[in-house]
Amino acid sequence: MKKKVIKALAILSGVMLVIPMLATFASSAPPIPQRGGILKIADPFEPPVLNTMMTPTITVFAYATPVFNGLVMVDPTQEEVSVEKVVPSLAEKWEISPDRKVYTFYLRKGVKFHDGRPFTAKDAKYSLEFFADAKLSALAAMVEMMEKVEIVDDYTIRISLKYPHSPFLLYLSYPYCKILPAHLAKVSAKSTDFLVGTGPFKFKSRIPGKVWVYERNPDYFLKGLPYLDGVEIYPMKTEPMIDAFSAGRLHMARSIRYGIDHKTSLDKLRKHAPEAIIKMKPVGVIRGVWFNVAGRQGHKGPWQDARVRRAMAMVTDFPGSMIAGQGSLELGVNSGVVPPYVPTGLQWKEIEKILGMDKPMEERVKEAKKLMKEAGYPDGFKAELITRNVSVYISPSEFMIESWRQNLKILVEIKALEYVVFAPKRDGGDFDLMYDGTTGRYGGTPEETLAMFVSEAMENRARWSNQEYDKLYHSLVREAEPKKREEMSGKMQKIFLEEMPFLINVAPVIGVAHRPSLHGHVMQAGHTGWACMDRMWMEK
Amino acid sequence: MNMRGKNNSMGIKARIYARQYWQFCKEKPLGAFGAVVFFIMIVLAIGAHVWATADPLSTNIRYALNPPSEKFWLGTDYLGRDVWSRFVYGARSSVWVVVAGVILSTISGGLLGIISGYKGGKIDHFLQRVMDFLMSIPILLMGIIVMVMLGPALINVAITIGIIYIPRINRLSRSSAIAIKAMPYIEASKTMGHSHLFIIFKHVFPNSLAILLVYGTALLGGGFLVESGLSFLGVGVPPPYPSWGRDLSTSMPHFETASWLAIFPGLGISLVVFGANLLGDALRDVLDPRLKRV
Repeated sequence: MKKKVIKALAILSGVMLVIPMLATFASSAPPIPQRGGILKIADPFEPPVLNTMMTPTITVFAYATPVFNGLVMVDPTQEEVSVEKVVPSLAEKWEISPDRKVYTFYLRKGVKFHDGRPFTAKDAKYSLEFFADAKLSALAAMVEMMEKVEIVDDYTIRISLKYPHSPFLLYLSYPYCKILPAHLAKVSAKSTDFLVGTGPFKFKSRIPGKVWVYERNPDYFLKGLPYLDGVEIYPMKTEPMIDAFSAGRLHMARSIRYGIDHKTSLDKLRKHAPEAIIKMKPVGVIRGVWFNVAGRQGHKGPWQDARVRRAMAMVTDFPGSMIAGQGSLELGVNSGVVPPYVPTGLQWKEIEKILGMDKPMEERVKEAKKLMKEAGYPDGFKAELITRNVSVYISPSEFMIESWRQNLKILVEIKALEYVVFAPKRDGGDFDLMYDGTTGRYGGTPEETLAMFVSEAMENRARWSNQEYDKLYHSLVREAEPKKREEMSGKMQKIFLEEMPFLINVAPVIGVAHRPSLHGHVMQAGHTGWACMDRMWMEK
Repeated sequence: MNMRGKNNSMGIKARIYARQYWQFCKEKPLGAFGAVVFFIMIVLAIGAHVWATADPLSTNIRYALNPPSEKFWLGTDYLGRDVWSRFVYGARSSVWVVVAGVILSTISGGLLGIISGYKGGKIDHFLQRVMDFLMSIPILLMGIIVMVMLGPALINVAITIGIIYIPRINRLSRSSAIAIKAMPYIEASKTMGHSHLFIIFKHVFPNSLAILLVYGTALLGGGFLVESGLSFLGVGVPPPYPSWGRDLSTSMPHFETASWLAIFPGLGISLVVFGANLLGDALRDVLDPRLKRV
């Protein structure tokens, strides 16, 4: 009898221990994806074109991502962006030669485009060559190391590089590099007929200015995906987008713009939709003041002297200028040439130390005046600064020039220009100073931004040239060993900070708000926000 | 005349002007109100460096978007700049560009109209067709086109306003010149062998001046609207210089949380345009001989 009681008590204790454990396990287990539902998204703009390689902007990605895939992609279930996180997409596996100059991709078989035509190596070759063509692709400079693309057979392609390039695979994984159908090469990227891909959603219809409708691709190459029945994208400006989201009419509000104009929008969203999940991530650009180091045609300027540029940096209140442009410190990060969220990017504290900005302002002003005197400009000078006629560019410009005026007697006249007037001046080097940003990058490797300042780089708006910097860059892209890469990247960043061709003040962020009922949305740092929509699902 | 005599003469003149002004106020109270508003605006503009309590360009992000207080009478903007100081200096830049623009248009439009009306014939036809074309373009659109061509600068805003109003002044001075051309003294002057240039500058232009000045005053209100409109659209007075129009434009995103940024520049624009229009209308009524009581 006693044994029976003990046995019963033991069983009861066991059950009482196990049940809570099971409950805990159940609650922490990821929810099971549910099929169905139309995801309603709003975006502030409609795209001018639909080819992500021609116009790599956030807006174009929003409308193209449902329809296209790349050869590879950054794991869409992870926030981290790195070579280690590259996973298969249309290529199911790949091999890299021992000298790291040849990449062989084995493509998935049986994949069809939305018009029923099969996807083969011909389409991959066409797309990659498009990506590398400077006449067609805005991002050709990213893959200038590509020498040739060869078709081995219908489902195998081989890419040969001019030299080993460590981030190459990562560049191919970025959402810019979409695989397009070669048989539709003549279709204009301005037409919705262009939207024929292998992606999880097919383009269905559009009412201009109102809605773009996509439906599930039943032949998607990943069986069981996508979970959603379809996607509807509503182009609407930020304010009505916030209102519609707060009223429960949207599941997601995209591209919540950063900047002084939109801080109140974000506050409104938090107030009226407190349940919303808001994600803010760096948008992959860096902004600041470019100095025309090579000088305007026939017009030399004091800013061509590195001491003057350093002096101007020292008296700038960087956190203040970020608030001036973004409205809040949470809407960006002060940045160096390699943003701090990118591997090997120097943190702001380190940058402050290198620039001598970790001292009190009075000391910085004193030292800056000394530098100006050494350079021969104790009484300051006059200069012109061009920028886009947009508040997120004008406000920080106004703030920064004021600190130069007050502390160094540098009188800068701002010319806020419409883009059609601004762009030729920027591209032609027809400026003294310029407040502008870099083109967007995904932010997985330091090379993405460091490359922009190599001599002769098209994006080197400052037209700055440093031999040691160039040499280090060419070594960096070939180097695979992480410690050596960190060392080289650090040296390059220091050279850059000492020479200061680009006085960076902010790496802005972009926001996405979505309902808690939406799952599978992982926001990665970088220019587009996310890699793929096939894993998103909604609770019913 | 000795000093005492001179002073007496000046005193008499001052009394005459004061009586005339008082008469004007009684006949045209709204015009008088407009004159007062405009006068206050001029005083603010001229004495901006006296009335301002801070440097209008000086930023301090710690004080960004502060409401009106003892330290900042009209609050601060998104860069921590004093709104009151920007208000008075904004008055200065507005007055400067508008008055300069209107003077430019009065002189150039006036002369073109006089030449056109006096000479007649092919010159008149050609000039008037050009003016027809310019008048067919909406004012703000023309302003934007000219500013984009000239580039953002204070002087260019004045030139733009000048160009915009040339056709309107031109019409008025042309009709004035046609009327004066028919006068006997013009005929007499021609008989005496005076050149056309002499006649234009000696007789026609001076006799048209009064009406041109009146009309020019009436244009001031419109000029302020054009200047603030161009600055609001971002093609007028360049940053960081204070301008009511630009400050109104940059206040829009903060209207819900910092409405003072919009209220004061908006109020300034409204009052000065209202005052200038009232004054211009009253002056036209008083000085136009066709409307004078016998």
